[in-house]
Amino acid sequence: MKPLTLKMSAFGPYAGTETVDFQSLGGSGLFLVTGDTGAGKTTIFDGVCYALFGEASGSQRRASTVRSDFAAPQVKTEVELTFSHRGKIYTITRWPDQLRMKLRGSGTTEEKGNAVLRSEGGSTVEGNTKVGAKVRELLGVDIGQFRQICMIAQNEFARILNAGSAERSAIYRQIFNTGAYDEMMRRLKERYDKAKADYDLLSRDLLERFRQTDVPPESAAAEKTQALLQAVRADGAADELLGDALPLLETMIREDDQRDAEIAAATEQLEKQRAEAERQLALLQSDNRRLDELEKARQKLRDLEARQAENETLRQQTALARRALDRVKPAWDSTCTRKREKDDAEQRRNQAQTALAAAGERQKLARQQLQEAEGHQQEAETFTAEAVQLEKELPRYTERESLQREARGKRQQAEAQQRKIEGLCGDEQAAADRQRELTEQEQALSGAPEEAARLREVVGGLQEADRAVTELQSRWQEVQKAGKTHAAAGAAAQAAIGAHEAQEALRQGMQKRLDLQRAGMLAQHLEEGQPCPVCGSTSHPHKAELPPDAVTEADVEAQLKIEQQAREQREKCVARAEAANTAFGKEQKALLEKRREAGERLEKAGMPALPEELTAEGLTALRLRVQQNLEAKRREQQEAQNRQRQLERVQGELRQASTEREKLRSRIAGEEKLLAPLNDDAAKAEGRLQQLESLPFATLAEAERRCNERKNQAQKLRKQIEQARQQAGLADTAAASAGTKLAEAETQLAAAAEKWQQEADHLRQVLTEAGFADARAYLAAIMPESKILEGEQACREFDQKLHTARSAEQQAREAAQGLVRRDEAEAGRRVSELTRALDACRDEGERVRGRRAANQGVLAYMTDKLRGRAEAYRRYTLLENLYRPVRGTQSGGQKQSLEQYVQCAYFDDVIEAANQRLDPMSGGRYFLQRHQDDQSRQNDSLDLDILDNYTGKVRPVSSLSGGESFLASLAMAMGLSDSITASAGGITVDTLFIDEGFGTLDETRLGEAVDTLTTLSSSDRLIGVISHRSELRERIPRQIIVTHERNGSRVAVSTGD
Amino acid sequence: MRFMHLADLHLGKVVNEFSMEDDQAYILEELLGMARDVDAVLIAGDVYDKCIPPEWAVRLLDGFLTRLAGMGKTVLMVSGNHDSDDRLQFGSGLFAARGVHIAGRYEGELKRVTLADEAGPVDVYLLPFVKASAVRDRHPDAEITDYSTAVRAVIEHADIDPARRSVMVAHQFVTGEQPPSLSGSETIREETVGTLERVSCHEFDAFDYVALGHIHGPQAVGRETCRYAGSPLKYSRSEVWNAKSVPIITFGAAKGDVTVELRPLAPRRDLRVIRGPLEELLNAGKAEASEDYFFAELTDADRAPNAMDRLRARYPNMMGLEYVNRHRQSPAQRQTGGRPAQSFEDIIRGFFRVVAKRELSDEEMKELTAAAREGGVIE
Repeated sequence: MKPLTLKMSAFGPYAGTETVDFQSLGGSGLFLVTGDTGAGKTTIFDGVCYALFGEASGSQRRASTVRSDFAAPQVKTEVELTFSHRGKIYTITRWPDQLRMKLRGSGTTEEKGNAVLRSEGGSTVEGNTKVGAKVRELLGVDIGQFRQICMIAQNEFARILNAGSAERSAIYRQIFNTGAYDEMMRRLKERYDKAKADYDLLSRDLLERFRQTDVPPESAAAEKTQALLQAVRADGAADELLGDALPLLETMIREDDQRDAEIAAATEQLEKQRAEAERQLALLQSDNRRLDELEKARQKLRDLEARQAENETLRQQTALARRALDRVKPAWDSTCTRKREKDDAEQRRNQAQTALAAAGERQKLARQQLQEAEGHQQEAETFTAEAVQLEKELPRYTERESLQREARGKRQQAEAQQRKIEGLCGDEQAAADRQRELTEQEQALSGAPEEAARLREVVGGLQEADRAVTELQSRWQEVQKAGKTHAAAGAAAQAAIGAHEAQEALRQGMQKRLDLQRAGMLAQHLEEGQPCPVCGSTSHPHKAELPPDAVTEADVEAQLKIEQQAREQREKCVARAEAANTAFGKEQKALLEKRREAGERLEKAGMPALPEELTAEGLTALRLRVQQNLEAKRREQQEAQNRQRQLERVQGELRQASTEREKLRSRIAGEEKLLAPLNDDAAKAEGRLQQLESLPFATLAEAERRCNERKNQAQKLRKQIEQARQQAGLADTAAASAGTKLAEAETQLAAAAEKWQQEADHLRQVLTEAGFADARAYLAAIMPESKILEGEQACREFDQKLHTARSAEQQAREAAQGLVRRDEAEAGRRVSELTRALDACRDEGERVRGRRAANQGVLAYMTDKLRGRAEAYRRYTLLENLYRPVRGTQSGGQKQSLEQYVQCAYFDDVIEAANQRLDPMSGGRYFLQRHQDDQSRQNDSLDLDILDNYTGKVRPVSSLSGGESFLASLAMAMGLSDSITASAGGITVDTLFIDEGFGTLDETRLGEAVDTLTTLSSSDRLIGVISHRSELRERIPRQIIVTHERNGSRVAVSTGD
Repeated sequence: MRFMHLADLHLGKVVNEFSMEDDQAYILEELLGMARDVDAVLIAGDVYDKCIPPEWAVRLLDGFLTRLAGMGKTVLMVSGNHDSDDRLQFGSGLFAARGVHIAGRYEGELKRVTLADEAGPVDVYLLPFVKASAVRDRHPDAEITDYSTAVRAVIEHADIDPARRSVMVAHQFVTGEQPPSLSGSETIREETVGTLERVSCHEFDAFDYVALGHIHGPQAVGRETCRYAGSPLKYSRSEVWNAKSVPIITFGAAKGDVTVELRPLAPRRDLRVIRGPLEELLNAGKAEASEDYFFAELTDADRAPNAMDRLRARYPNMMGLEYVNRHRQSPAQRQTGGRPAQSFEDIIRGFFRVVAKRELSDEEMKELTAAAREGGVIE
């Protein structure tokens, strides 16, 4: 990127438009920007930066303040940079958000910032973002990198030196495109992760399966296998361990196969044996059973026969019970009933006796109470008398109370009235004050109406003047118009006259020719021998000839018509011209009239006179003045009117205030009149009150209470007496009835006893007949019906059973003929032994087969997978050994990622290139190095150290002095630009701007630095330097000189020769 | 008539942070001694080292001029590119009465001072350092395209009587067939001096002797009587091998009869270069140690700690050191190709060698290449 032209408008200290023509400084080489402090040197660099990226050159300047404070409001802040890049020419125009004056109308408008990039080929990109992206694309750097590489701003060179590893790394990543290495590392990691995952998965599977191995404890391989399982559990085994498992498994499987065969044989054998034993047992068992049967039948029979006697007894009992039930029971029942009735009657008689005794007691008590009650009679009489007395006095209480109320009421009314009067007095006072106030105001405004009237006059005059002037103006315009019309019409008339005359002449000519022709035409029709219509001759020796350019009558006619038209036209035009002339004359007269009028009015209104010469502008101006004056006077008039209105208002209020006050005064008088009677009434009531004698009770209520009390007491006593009397009566009645009841009960008892005796005798008779000795025997024998039936049934059944048992015994005897009992237990034991053995054998067989199958499965699986896992492991370790170093976590070696390694290599390049520059500039003293920290063995640092040949020691760059720092950072910048150009990075660095920094160098160093810069700039690179040092002014002939003037700064280019 | 030709005094100069005050005072004394048997002293520019010289430099010149005037010598001085024209010219109107003539700023007239001896007048023309633009301003109609034509214009405009014996005192970059050999402290580099600034020595053909300043190594340009006097002291390392001298010019009676004699000049402290291993230099015999200014070229393979301090202890005025066994390319020689772009394979193999200390197998290479392709490192 090489700047060709920079144009700055209202930018920084440049108020107007300043153009810097870089091309006149030559396309390459060193140039100096010099000038007064603050004049705008750095602004030139800012301008370049701003045009490209929208930001200023240093981090301390902000793009938002770029608008020049000196700029006139209608000048737009804008920067335009034309630059060449890789052979093509581009122009960027950029301007910030800004407020500027509108071009038309007044006020400011906000203009939004924007940027436009035009390429040589013609394509245009617009918009801050788009342009930013395109610039970045073209140059390959963003503003941060640009500042690092191409533009060393004031006070920022230290940053280049002291940039930390991380910052440098980021920049180099961008410039040298090492980010791809980072991406590569990530991809590698993906692969590594995947390989590891595969391997882990396989391992886990294998282990799982292996653990499912069923180890037969007696196996030869058992111990080893167990050990292996333990080992595996502990350490998630390597292939070797698992590999060992395979032969062990095979051994186990083989053994199991063998075992399985053995077991099969044994099982068969056992089965045979067991079948035989079972058969034997069965036989034995059946014999024994028959014998058992016999024994059982015999036993049964014996049992039954034993019970026969019992059965008989039962039969007898049953019979007896039947007799008792059928024959004796009814009588027994009825006897019992009668006895019960007799007992009831006796009980009732006893009860009646008791009742009678009780009634007698009650009677005695009631008589006693009555006597007591009658004793209180006297007391009741006394109470009644007292109550009557009190009642008589009650009305007096009532009276007293009402008097009290009255007096109180009157007193309150009087007080209220008094208060009211006081209030009204206060109001009256207030009204008086108001009245005074308003009177004052009225005086202040007294002059208003006259003023208003005067101003009205004035305004009227001005209005008339305005009208007059307006009319004058319009008149004048009319005159102008009429004049124009007049002139136009005159010209038209002239033209029409001319035209008409031309046509007339033409026609006349044609007519003449026609006349001439007539002869010829006539002649044409002449025939020899025929008379000539003109002269009558019949011979025509010389016929007239048609002139060559013949016209016909028709032509003439036509021409005549044309002439007619022309004449009409002419007449019209002439008429119009006349009219216009008249109109014009009228207008002019009217104008004069108006002018006079207007002149008068203006004079009356006190305005200056009309000018001699009337012009449009003059009239307009005059009108304006009149109107302005009018406005002013109107405003005054308005104010006067306002004051007048105010005055009227005040007067009105004043009147109101007086009336109010009057009203109030009359009211007060009225109220005072009412006050006196109220006081009198109150006094009267109080007097009457005093007259009443004192009464025993304080209030009516109390008296009433006492009265009622006494009444109640009397009543109570009387009631008590009444009650006692009643009770006594009742008690007597009760005693009488109890006696009657007793007599009845005695009678009933006698009857019941009689009946019972009769029944008892009957019963004795029946018993004897039925064969019972007495009642006890009967009671012992009797049984309920159901039980009797049961007994009869049982006997029947027993007989049956006995019969059956007998026949069974018979049969069993026959069946067991000749058989003998033998011991089963032995045989049974044998059978079960054999069965147990057989089962065990079978189980064993199952187990072994199962185990074998499982182990077979494990073996197959493991065999298959181990191969895969070995492969996976190999791949995984391979990738691990690639990824770790690339990432920078290789243990034992240097800790440096691949990207860092590549960046360090670039950095080394840059440092080497820088050293080429620094060596001459520092007189061979300083030598830049990449920081190597021996202790941590990390070689990934992108920090800088400096080797001082004078001391032979290495120290960090931050320890350099100001001037030395500048040289070192300059060297770094140049080294970086060399490096970038050399690498295939695609960024061309052909411009370098350096802002100050030379101030800290001594002369020799300064000389060296300038020489180095000059050398650098000679190879097609443009280097711009800002400095105020006079030595540089001497040495660098090509200069941009910035001068500070009162209203902004100026830029001039000098080529110094 | 005899002249002493001086130039490039550079009073006030500081070399490698060493002030030259003492040395310049000493050498001025020597020059005063030499001036005893001449009639006039020509000083051809770069009198001061800076536009605004330090006080001691002003003091030195003041003393020098006063003493010369006191000895009755005529002094003829022009300003150089390092001087400030106006400041150097201060008091020139007053000084002229005492025989000290100073041409600081070219005002359109080439200043001429006419001296006389038994044989007649000798014109001395004083041309201060001018740039083409300055001359253009004064002579707008003249055709001036570069410094050479500028000088020509000035000379043409002056009224030179070619018959009289004449001397030109000027401070320019004058070249003959070959450019003059530079010694490094002239603050110009041959490569950077454009052709615009060169003045052909033939512009001065009309003068019998041309006393030039600007180049610090004493030498003649084009002819023996057109010379650079050279600076009286060695002001940079590259002047180490200069033999500093002062030309004494004797004018015979006839025009063109000019003889030049070079008188050697010995400074109080010489500027030297010593070379060898550090230890050897430190242990050199007593005779070696001196107050001279030294530059050390150390041949040690490794950098020694505190080399400078130790050398300074032995040689108090050590100006600088460098290690010479490191092959140094000048910037011009350095290949701008830089590091040849390495292939990805080279880079990655190198990386593994350094970091993991092993070589990569083919399979590993394949994996890395695949990852690199995915990451975008290679296509």
